[in-house]
Amino acid sequence: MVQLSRRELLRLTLGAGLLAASGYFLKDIFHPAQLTRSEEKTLAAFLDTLIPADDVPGAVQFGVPEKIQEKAKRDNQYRRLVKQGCSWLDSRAGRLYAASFDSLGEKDRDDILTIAAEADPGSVQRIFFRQIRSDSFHHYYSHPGSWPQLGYNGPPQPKGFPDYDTTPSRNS
Amino acid sequence: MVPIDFDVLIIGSGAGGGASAWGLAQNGLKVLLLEAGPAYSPSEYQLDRSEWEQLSFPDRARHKGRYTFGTMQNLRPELKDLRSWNHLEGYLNDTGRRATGAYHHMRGVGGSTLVFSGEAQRLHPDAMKMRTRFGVAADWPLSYSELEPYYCLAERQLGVAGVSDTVRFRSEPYPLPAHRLSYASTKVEEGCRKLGLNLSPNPVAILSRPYDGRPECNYCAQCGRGCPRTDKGSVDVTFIRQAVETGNCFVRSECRVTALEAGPSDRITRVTYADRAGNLHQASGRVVIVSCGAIETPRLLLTSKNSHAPDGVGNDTGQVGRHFMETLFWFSSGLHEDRLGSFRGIPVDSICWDFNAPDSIPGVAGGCRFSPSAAEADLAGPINYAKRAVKGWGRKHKEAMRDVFGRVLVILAMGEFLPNSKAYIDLDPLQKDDAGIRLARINTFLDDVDIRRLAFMSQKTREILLASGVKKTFEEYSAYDMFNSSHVFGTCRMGIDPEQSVVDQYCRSHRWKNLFIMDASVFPSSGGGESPSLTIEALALRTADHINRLAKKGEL
Repeated sequence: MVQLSRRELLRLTLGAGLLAASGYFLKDIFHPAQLTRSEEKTLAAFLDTLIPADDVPGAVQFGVPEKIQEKAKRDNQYRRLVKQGCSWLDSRAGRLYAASFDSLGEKDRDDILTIAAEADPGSVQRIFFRQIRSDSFHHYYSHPGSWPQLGYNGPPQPKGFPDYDTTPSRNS
Repeated sequence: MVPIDFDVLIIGSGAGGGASAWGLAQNGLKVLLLEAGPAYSPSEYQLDRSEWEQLSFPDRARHKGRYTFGTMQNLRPELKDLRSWNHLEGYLNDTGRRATGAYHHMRGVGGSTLVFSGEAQRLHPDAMKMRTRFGVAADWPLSYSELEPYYCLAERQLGVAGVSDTVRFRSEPYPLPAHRLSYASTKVEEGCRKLGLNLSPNPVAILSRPYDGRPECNYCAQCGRGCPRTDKGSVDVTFIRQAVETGNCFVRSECRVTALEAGPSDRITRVTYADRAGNLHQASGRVVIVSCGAIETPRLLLTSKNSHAPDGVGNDTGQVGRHFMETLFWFSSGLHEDRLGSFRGIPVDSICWDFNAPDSIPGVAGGCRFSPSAAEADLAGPINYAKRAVKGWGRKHKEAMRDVFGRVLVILAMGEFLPNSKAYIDLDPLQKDDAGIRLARINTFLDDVDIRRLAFMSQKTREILLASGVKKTFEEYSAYDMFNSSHVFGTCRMGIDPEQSVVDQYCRSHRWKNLFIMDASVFPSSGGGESPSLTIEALALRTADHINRLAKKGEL
């Protein structure tokens, strides 16, 4: 799993410090509340944008939102990042479309992701985007249901790849 | 604390310690093998789990040693072409200074062979005479032909599969036939041919047939995460198992040696070690062999100070820790035009030796080698494809994954690293381990000659990749801007002159008559990119023969 870099952590911590200075309680920073139902919906919509369903199920169908939520539940720093990221998605959706992120169509959600992906390297939205992109691919492509579309017949053991010296078939 | 007497104490159970243990135990000597890390069972390896790709070798307490770094060198703006980069992130080290990556090693019974890729290469004979031929590094105090019978013995014990090459004389064939190249590697073979280069099967301690009670490989490509089948010849399932079967070798895992005790008459009288619970014990042997690798071995010698060895054991001439050599590497990764299924096969199944001789790179002393290996770059599963090989997200990303999966082709180059005065291991002035013993500090420096060799490696790697059908690369990793070493050498150099070396040609301390060092810290030069484990094992078997002879003559 991709870890936050020291610089990114510092940036988040500094961000938290600024929030504290502007009136938030330290408790909310170091022990943020669990995700609300609304945040969970925003997160699911974000993950559905990252890996949508087509002929093959997407992130939501393979349980990726639950995996991210599980981690957010037990990891304060991660939860803070998810909450800040969801807040950014909703505020950006509100500003651009006067709607919540999860109520937008795929094209509009995609446009907001592009803004996050191209944001300043130290910004919360960019850090959130990169971390959740990485984690969602981790969970999605760990799911054996994602493998047949790739022609991947893993995991590596116990079968191995005894056909290793031949032209790959779709089931290699 | 009750001392326990053995004929031989071996500290560290990697390639050197494991092969030494077998070489001595099968001759009837009683051996105690002390290992700081845990013992693993192949059934623990996690390659049958759906999330295998994000699981490394099982993470257990004490399985890594701690160390620090000295100040790293500044990077030169004009050498941007030698920087590590990825098409998603840009430069991976965007600072002006070389980064401290990691000393990739494993503590555990079997040492770093638990996670090695099975490469079992002999050194190029000319790479053992770098001082005579080029005025750099130091000559080995023994010749290739003196080592050759022990290479054969090590290959037989491991079950090495390979084909003869033209420069490494062999007195007998490889014990097992070479593996066929993977389909992906045949593309690199074609590419090399277009460039007038030769790609041949890489000699590997990976079974191509059942051997020694172990099954043949099934080509999962994941040696680095531990081999659950035991077809990979890591030391735990070969030399150490064979040593224990003699009834003369006893293995104590999670026992960390904290000091060698130097005594009168230039002998090591005992060693002190801490068990898992932290309780201290002492053990003594007629012979003590230190096999902790080129970072921990000098640390143990330097921290073992007393009135008999005020500068540390073996350090009377200040040579311990000097002449450190790291891994000089280059990786280029790209997408081939066809589906290759490149996640299948042996991690490093083939090798181009054409630039391995130390005089084969124009204007630069020291050679290098090239191999295809998606697995070594950890691009052999869907997750890393999704994260690193394919840009973006959404439907396009998903479609691209279907298009590119199995098409990654990677070329890995490794080359000679020449010792220099700025590359050495010393003790960190401040940082200590939990027992209060100072940590090893890695001070390292890429000299101009190494940078020029690396530039050649990068250029040739890109040429091979292009000729093999890759139009565009998406990622390159380089030793230039980040230290990342699995092969480390040279900090207790082997030589004839005690002023210039720590041990003699049998890896015996020049001063301490019952102390031997048996790992790659004795290497006077690194070789031209060959993986060192087979050479360490051959040296260990030669040293064991020497100790056995001394024992017979009553001279231990």
